[in-house]
Amino acid sequence: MIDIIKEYFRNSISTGFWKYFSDCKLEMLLNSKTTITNDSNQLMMIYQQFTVSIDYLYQVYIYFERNLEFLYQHLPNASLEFRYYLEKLQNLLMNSITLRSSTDTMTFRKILYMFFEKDFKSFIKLKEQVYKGDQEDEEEDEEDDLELSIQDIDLKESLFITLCRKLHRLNIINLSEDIFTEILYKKIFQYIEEKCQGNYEERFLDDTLQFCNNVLFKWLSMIILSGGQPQESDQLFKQWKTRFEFSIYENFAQQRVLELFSMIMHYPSSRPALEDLGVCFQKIPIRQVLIQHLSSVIGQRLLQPGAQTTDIISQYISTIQSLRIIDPSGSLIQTVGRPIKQYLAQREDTIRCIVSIFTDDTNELHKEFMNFRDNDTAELQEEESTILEYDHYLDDLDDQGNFEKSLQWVPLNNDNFNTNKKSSDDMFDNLVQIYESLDLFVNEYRSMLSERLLSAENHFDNALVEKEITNLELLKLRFGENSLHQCEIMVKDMTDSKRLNNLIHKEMGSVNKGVYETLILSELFWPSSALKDTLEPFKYPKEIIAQMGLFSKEYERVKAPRKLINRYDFGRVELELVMENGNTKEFTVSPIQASIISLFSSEGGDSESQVKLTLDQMCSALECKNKEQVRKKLQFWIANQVVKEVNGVYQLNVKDSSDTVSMAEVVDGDYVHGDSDEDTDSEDDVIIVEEQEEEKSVSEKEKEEKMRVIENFIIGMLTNFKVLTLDRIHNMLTMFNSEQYSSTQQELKQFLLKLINEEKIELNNTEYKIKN
Amino acid sequence: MKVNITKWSSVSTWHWDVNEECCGICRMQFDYCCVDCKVPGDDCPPVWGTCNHAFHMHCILKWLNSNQQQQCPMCRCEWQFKSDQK
Ligand SMILES: [Zn+2]
Ligand SMILES: [Zn+2]
Ligand SMILES: [Zn+2]
Repeated sequence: MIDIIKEYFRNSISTGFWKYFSDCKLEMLLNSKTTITNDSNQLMMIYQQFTVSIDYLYQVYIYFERNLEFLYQHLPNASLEFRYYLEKLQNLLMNSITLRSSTDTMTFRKILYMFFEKDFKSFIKLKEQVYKGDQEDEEEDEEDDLELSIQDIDLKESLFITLCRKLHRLNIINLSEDIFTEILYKKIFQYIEEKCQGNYEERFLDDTLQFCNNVLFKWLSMIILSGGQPQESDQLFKQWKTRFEFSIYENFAQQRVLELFSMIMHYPSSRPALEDLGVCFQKIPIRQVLIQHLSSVIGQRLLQPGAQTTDIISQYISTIQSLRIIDPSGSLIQTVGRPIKQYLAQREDTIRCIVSIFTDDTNELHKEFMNFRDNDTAELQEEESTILEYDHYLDDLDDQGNFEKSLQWVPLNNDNFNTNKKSSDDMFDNLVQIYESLDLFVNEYRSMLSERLLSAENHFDNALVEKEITNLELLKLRFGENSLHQCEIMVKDMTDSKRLNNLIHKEMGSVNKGVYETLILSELFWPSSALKDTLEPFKYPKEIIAQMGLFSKEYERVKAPRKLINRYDFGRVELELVMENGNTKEFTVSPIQASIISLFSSEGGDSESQVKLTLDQMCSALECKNKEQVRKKLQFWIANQVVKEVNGVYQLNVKDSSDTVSMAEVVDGDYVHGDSDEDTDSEDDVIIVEEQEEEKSVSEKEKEEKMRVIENFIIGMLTNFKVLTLDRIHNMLTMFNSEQYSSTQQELKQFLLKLINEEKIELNNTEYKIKN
Repeated sequence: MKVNITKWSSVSTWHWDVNEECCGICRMQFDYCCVDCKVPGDDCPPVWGTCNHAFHMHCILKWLNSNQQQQCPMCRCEWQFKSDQK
């Protein structure tokens, strides 16, 4: 009997079905890759004909189903369930449709796809219209069903549901699952991409899920729930929903993960996007993908020789903050942060950068750090004790010992990240953990502290000391009191010195007080490198020696049995040269420079007799055995055209004609303190002058040769990067050419100046570029 | 030409005027402080015995308190504080 039905289906149904499409250009569906063609009339026609043809199939099916049922009931030995025969019938029907030619299966699927897609599109459009209210729709390509009222929508939906019911009966819904799945996915992925891509300042996840609930699932429910048994359909629909929601999280997360690096760059304004990703992180397993992707982008874009250490640290901090939002447990940071930490640990200037973040208020990141800290301060303040109250030291240990310990830095292997840890603690720990040893930080801080204190314009500036006290307090809480003890004494030296200077000046009386003041340091507590003596002792000018003598005497009286040792390398002198013609010139110089120029001062006011001195005479006047040292320091005055040399005799550089050039400029000398390599411009000038004066040694010539070798490299870099600052050129050379390149930034600057003079490159503000 | 110095800001270091560098009891430098102290200077001065040996004040007091004989730990002569410290 089945065979007879089969034969009938093959002969008449197939032709009957396809007759409905005889007027449609079905090839169009097949040929175009996307099912959306421009010919909306054709599509409309196919859509309509599909509805009618399905109706036809349905009628046929119902007819046979009834007959089959009748036959089944009268079948004497029905061994199989009726359902089996129904399925057989459905299959026969479907097969017969696609038997006509080889492309039929394909065409039928295309028609199905087109049908669902078209209905879905108009559904979305209507839904969006309802949401948008009266907003005008700019797209005009589907003018057919634009102006539908709510009733029309209901009608349209009920027609669709009726059709779906028929498709269910024909088992076509089952066969088209992948089709409407694809349509829905396409829509939701497109929605996610359009809405979220590049926008990190809003949350989108809930919005996306809501859109699915309100629109996509509504449409899906019409298809699924139009099936026969309500309970079964409900169950099915729930499965569909779960599956879709998972896919949404997955796609959403995927999209966000691809943008994660960019989100980190935009932190903190990208917080909403990070929070969204955090929700996904909890829902679905994206950990591996996230780690893999982010690590590779960080490797490519951040951990590069050309990147500045401060930038890497800054990004590292943002990464920590960002990943903590995604994964509060901190385990993501551990994994992703490891290569960054390792990379930073290799860079020489990292420690300095980090210490500077903690303590240097000219550092960009310091502000950020302090902001975090300000938010946390309330709690901390209770525990703070003032730095100079040493009497309480022992009490502190007893009372606060436990508390301090809990705040102190814990070495690397701590997995016990505290979820509600303060953000500044978090930042601090993560930066400190780059290194295994705490001492590195304390030593670096100590040497930076000594540089800052010694090079301060005014040693007795309250603000200077207060700032450092704040820093110390902060570091003490983290590193523990003991490790910063020496630093505390250093700061204490500053305040004690100020007090003592005031006291002693008062004792000396205003007449004797003079211009002399001195910083009194506890030598053993300062870094030995900071107080290294390099200069041979020399004699200060008479008036200063007198003042210094009075000061020392008073000090020894007050602080017996103690004595003061003057450190000739250090100090800072402000002076004013009064020329014969009344012009004045101000300088800030080192004590040795001041002592040298004082030798040229005409004492009796006798303007006729110019002081003329040979180097030997100067040395004996200064009681300094090191001629070279005096000669070198003299260069500063020659460079500033105060002193000139004629046949080995030095004298003031007085111009014969009364020139009217304004001389009232302020020039700074090399009041360098010890080894601190500050690179203020004025200081550079002195160095340059001194270098030019010296005969070029062999090693210097070699150096120049080397610089010539790397000239090509510089030109290459500038060709690639268009413009580069001195810093960057220096960094890149150091990274890439460490074998040939060992120059200081200052030497590089000189070399670049040479290239500018040779018209190979040019300098705009701070940026170098190739000269066209 | 005349040189008008308006400010001469120098740097010096203070030191105890002691012949030995270290305290014979705690072996710490005098310019540091004794093991019980944290802050150098005023609070932890050296003292001299009539034998001219110097120790941290804290160190010699501790020593004298823990020993029956009031002797200088260096030369074993009877310990007497030198009244006029230098
Ligand atoms: Zn001692
Ligand atoms: Zn002591
Ligand atoms: Zn003795």
